[in-house]
Amino acid sequence: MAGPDPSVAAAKRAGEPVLSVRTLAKAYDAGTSREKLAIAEVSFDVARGEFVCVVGPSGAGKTTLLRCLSGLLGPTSGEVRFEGTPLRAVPDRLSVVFQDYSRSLFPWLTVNRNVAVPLRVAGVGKQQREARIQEVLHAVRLGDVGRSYPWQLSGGMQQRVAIARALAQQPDMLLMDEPFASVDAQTRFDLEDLILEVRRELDITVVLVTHDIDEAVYLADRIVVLTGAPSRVQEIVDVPLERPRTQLGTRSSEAFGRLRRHLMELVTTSS
Amino acid sequence: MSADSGRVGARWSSIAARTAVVVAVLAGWEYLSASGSLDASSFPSMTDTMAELARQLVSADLWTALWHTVRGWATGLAIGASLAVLVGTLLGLNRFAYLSVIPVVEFLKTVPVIAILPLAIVVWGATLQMKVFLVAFGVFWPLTIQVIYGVRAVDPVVRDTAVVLRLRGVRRFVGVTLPSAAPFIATGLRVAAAVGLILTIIAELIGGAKGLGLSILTTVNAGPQRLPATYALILVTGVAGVVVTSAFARLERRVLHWHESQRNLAPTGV
Ligand SMILES: Nc1ncnc2c1ncn2[C@@H]1O[C@H](COP(=O)(O)OP(=O)(O)OP(=O)(O)O)[C@@H](O)[C@H]1O
Ligand SMILES: [Mg+2]
Repeated sequence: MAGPDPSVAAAKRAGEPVLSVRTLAKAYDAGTSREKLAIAEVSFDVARGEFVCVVGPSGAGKTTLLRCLSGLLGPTSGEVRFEGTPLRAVPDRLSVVFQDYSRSLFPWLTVNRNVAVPLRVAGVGKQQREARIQEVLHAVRLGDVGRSYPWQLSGGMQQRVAIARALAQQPDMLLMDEPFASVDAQTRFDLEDLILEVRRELDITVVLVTHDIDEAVYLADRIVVLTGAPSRVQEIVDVPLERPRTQLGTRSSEAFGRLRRHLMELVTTSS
Repeated sequence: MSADSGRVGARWSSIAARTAVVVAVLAGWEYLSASGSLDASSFPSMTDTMAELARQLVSADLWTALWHTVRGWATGLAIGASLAVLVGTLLGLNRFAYLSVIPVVEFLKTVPVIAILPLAIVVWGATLQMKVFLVAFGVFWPLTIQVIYGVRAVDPVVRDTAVVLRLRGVRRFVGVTLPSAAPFIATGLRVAAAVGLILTIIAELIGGAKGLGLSILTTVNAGPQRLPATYALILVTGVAGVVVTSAFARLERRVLHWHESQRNLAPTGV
């Protein structure tokens, strides 16, 4: 399977966005003396099938933004629409991969049982459930680890389990909060390629938050660059690099270098 | 292989070291009474005590007393712990209820159980009920607090994950809240079990309910020639305490084998 046809992608982008963020602002402890504005004003759209990265310096409010996008946190003002309707709770066709896999995977459940959680909730029968578990573990290239506990696995493998569990929900859209921030460089490259493959095979929309510019350029169709806290959109950068991308080929291309340089300028001038 | 045999070796040498310490203490005891440093009228020799213990171990009286003690302890613990888990969970899950009730719980926790012992004796007399009430009461308050904190201590990332996975109601409670609270509850239970045993013995000693505590009192009242029996019974209560504590520690290790504090200590049972 080749990458998405650019003309199809363009047609999709012309249609209604899956996710639409309008003048979103978020203050913690609003109305108290400890009030802290984390997001000042953020607006952007995500089209169906698109891969959007959000980059911003540490403490910019990326996690806050992602929790607002997922419906885990209500905005102070502004609006987030998912498939046309304003978010009230976490929508059914949306799944989240958190930064800290060691806390988001349930340590009291084996890998199989962790992945089974959303399937049980959805009322999937035992046989189908086992088939689905095998399927998603295979999709994230995990071999025979189903009977292990997550904490018996390496960090990279744990994050694969977290991704598998998110995929088991059969989401239309996947939100990821710095998913590869705490693994080594090689594992990080592997996981980046993994998520690109999964996204192509399953045709899902991805919004990934990161502070790593190279990662954003390598993965994204578009990059939303945030300023430091309280965050605003500094610029939305198109990434017209061809797909499929390869770590060596893409990263050493001239276009990659240009984009990277442009983003570096944005980020360094903002702080 | 070599690591395993190393671990087995370490285990044997720790058992050997502990045995040596026990033997040394017993020998020291014997030496002190033989040399006359310990007054024979209040402190019998180790050999006399052990001989009496051996006699007791084959007599029905000891086992009946032990049975009464264990029954009172287990019933009181079961009642107190079940109520604590129930009440603690309800208070932990409901912030309003928690804020309203917590001052009372904190206060009652600090009331020494001994202070209500006379009341319990007046109401129930020297009975099993009196003992069970005392144990259940003494175990309930601290364990309730432990359960409340456990239920409220769900990690924020775990909480977000539960929402994203659409875990709700009973499924969420059993699948997320209880396992998160389990380490707190287990610690609370282990302490409660030991405290419960102490309260049982006190209820028997002071309240006069049948059991090891009453047997100790009876031998004391029987005069100096029964002194070895007193010490033998005290040893039995000590052993009971050790058995209870280590049994709960083992249980904790099994049930919480996934928890950070227990990892790689026990077979996973998978
Ligand atoms: N629960 C909270 N209560 C109050 N303030 C908060 C809370 N969570 C975050 N903040 C504040 O909001 C701001 C943004 O935090 P956030 O975690 O969203 O940043 P981030 O971009 O994800 O940072 P990092 O890159 O370090 O993960 C920070 O200044 C932080 O102190
Ligand atoms: Mg963050």
